[in-house]
Amino acid sequence: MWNYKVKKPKSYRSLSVTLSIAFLALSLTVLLTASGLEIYFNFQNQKKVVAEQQQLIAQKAADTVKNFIQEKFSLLETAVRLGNLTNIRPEEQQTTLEKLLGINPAFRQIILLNAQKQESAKISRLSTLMPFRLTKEVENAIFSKAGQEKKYISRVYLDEITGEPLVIMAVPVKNVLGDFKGILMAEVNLKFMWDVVNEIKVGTKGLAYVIDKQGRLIAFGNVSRVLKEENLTGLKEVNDFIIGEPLTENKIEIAKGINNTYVVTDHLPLGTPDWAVVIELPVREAYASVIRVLGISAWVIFLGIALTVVAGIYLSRKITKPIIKLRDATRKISTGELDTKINVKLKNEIGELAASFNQMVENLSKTTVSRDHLAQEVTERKRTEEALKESETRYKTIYESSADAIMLASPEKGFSSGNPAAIKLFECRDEKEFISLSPAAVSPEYQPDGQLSSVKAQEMMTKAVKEGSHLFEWTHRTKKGREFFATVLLNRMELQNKKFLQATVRDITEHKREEERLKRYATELARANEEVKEFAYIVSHDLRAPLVNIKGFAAELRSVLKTIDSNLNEILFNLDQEKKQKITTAFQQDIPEALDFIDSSATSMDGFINSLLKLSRMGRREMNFEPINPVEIVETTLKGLAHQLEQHRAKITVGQLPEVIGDRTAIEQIIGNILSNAVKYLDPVRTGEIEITGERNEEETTLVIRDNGRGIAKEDIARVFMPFRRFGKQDTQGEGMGLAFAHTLAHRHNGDIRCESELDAGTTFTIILSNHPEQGG
Amino acid sequence: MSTKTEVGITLNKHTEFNWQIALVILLVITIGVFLSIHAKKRPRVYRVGIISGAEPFVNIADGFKTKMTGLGYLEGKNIIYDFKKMDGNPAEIEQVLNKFVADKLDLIFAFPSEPAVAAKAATRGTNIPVVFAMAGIDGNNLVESVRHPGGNITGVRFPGLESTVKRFEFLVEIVPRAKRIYLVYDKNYPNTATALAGLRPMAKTKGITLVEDPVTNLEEFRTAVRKRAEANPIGIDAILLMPDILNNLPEGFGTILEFANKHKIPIGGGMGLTADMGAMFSFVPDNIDQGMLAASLADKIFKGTPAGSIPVVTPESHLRLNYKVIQKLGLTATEGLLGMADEIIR
Repeated sequence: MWNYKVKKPKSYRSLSVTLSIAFLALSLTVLLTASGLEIYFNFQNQKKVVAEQQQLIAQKAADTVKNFIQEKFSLLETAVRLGNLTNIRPEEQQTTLEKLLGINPAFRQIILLNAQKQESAKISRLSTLMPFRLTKEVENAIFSKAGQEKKYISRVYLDEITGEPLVIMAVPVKNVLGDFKGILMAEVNLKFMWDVVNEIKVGTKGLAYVIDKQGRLIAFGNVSRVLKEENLTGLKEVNDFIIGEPLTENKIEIAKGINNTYVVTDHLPLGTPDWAVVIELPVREAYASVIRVLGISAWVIFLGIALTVVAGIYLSRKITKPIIKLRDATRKISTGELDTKINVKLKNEIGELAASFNQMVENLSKTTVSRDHLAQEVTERKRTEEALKESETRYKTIYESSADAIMLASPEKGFSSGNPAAIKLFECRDEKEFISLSPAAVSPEYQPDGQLSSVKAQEMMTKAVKEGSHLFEWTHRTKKGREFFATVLLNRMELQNKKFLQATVRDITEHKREEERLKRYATELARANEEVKEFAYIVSHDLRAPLVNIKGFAAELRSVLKTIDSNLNEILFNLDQEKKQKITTAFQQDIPEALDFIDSSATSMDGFINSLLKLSRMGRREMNFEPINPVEIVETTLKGLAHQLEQHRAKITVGQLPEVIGDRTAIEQIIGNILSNAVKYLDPVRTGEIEITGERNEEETTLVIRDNGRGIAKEDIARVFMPFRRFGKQDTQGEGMGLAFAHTLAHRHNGDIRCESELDAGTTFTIILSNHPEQGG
Repeated sequence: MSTKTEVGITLNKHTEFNWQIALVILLVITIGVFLSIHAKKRPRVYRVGIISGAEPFVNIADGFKTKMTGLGYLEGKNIIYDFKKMDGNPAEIEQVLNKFVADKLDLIFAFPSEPAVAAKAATRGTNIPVVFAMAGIDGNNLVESVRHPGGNITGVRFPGLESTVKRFEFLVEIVPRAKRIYLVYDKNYPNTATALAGLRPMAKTKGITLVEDPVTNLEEFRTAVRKRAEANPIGIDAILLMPDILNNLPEGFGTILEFANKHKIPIGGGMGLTADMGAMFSFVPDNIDQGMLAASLADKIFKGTPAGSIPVVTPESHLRLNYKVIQKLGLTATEGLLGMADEIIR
């Protein structure tokens, strides 16, 4: 099986980061290399210097310790030489030793032995109770050395009580001839060497100590460690001394020191005694300059890193900023923002790139703009075409399905098109035939007003061309010669820089006929109306004369009857009683009653005729229209009705009433009649309430009079405006003409009165008055 | 027409690198690192209780303080001393030490032997280290050994045995006729038994009789000396001062000196002061030296070494000869003795 490793797609990393890292890496490499080399060479130099210094210090330390020992030997030798120890008395020997002991505190005990190893004199800083560690072995060694005329120094041993390191030092005692006479030996307390060793300067914090051949610490600043009898064979430098490692010049050893810290260490054997001085210098101090350089280098590197990071970011940003701008610009351009510009004014390759890029974008923008414009134009054109097509279809449909004849014509060339309605109207076979007709051919020679069609047509067309359109009536003639009335709408239009007139011809022959008929009816109606009015006037006027006669003759008859009545008995004296009675009854009762009836009927008839006459006059009276404040009229009317209002305890509410245009007398009559009726027909069972309101709009002004009176039965409402009509309970006087008058007068104001009512609830009269009453009536 | 866009300025405005802030941050980090590296720890302040058992030893504390100062312990700055000077009263010594322990001091420096022994007892069960000076270590269980004192104690030993015996030898050397040497001592003092253990065989070897008056306090001490003075004959040829408080207190030594002067009896001294006051010599380690040695030990303890593991150090004894007194008594100091003397008072 093949194993395919799917490569992980590399994650995006900003160029700024990459450049910063690269810059950092490069700078670090340079910094670390430079610092590393500096540290290396510094270290090598310092190593050499330290090695030389260590050897000098070691030598000096060794000399110091040797001097300490040598001083003791010198004292002993001087005592031997000057004290003439072999030739003086024991007391004098004792005194000499006491003096010697007093000279140097390091001497604990001093013993003078003769050649036979017998104690000649002894002096001790301690009590005599304290032993002197002079073993046989030591004694033999001393005598062996002394015999060879050599100085002797024993191995280090510790005091049992104090734990302090001690040695026995011995010198041979000779007489003036140089013969061996004995030995002068001293027990020396090495603790007096501690201060000497402690004062050896090894740098600032370095130290020195002395060890014996067994690696035992015998002198050190830290007394406690000497007293502990520490063995330092574990330390490399000590071990080197024990095994006799040869000394190498300029060799430097870094190892754990006596204080268990890393030190630069060296040792120098003293020879005699068989000890060595070890010196230690803390590594930190020995390589202080290197460490300082290391520290400075660390700071330099740290600051270098910091500065590198800052500089890296700055430079990478400086480098990448224009590139980022370029990138962002390309992104924007890719989204179509071709007006994007890169603001990079660097005088380098990036600047050039930006400039080239801007140029490229500009070119691209131009190309794209052209392309876009083209595309837009095409789209718009398509859209226009579609719209045009749609429009054409729409207009074609309208054009073709129009009932009106639509045609295009130019004054010069005549018709250029005609719709099916035109073809049909002018009774042509097809459009071609229609187009072939000249405009003159579709009109009779003269128009009804007697003008020549050709002249008048020219006038009409000129007017249409001048005013844009012109509507007029025209008498046309079809191809077949049939004439008909039409309205012609001429519209001026321009197509392809050519002026046309579009004519819409509508056959109004039927309409004309209807119009003529209506005119005729109206004339007849007016005449009939006039006749009715005349008749009414005549009737009412002429009827009054017979009525006057009837009334006059009836009065005459009454007078005659009175005369007859006064002479009745004489007239009837010869008649029997029954006849007498009947005639008497006829003269005294029936005839007067009949006369009364004739009289009252005639009076009533006179009333009717007067009313009719009045109504007739109203219909004919000339109106004097003027602006009127209806409030004044209402108030005056109400004053006249004050007594009745009080009787009915009626409450009157007069709202804001607008000004009306009308004939003052007529308006007074209208308001007076309706208000008077409202008061008259209030229901006595409840408190009367009458409300008068009004409103005005552009066309008309409305006054509403609402009451809570008896109301009118539904079936009677339609007849309330008829003359001599009264409804409901007839407990008031009246002729039933008030509303008829009001209605007539309202009509004379190009208005109307409407009535709404509910029995036992109340009635509302709405007086509608035109704001332009002169236009009607 | 859309407006032109300045790419790279408006888009990156929010991510613009703020150099001032970056530099301030860098500076703060640098200073922070520098300070953290170089910041010095607040020095610890050590509290040390010093108890001096009697007047003649007081200047041991001077040596201690001087050396401590040299080692970097500056009084009032990083070390505070609570110094109590006692007059040998054991109960008061114990009381002071108990207070030291209650105060949880960092170290107790006690001298001479009696306060040292009491300090060891008082600090038992605590971790307060004890450094002693001028204290005998023989026969009193003060330390396990010189090399390894054990417990939480170390110090500067008083070489009681060898120095007392050496005093005896010096006395005998100056007063060769002396056959009866008078000793009056505090029988309960820690050094006494050891000193007697060295003196008695030495006296026997030399054929000298030790006339002993063991006492327990100053009053008895005075009574004993007074009784000795009243004896007839006095029966002593010389007086040897013993290494205890009573012999070395001005009151105790004064009593002896008065008695000795009255009867022209030579005194072999003890503390350095006795040679000044009328003894023929003194042979004792120097107080200042002891204080300094003790300071070195305290320094080791403060640096972390357990006290019990620090070997006890032995100071050098110094011989001071009062040549005037010797001559006044009609005695002779040999040339050798004069040569051995560290100081001759003339």
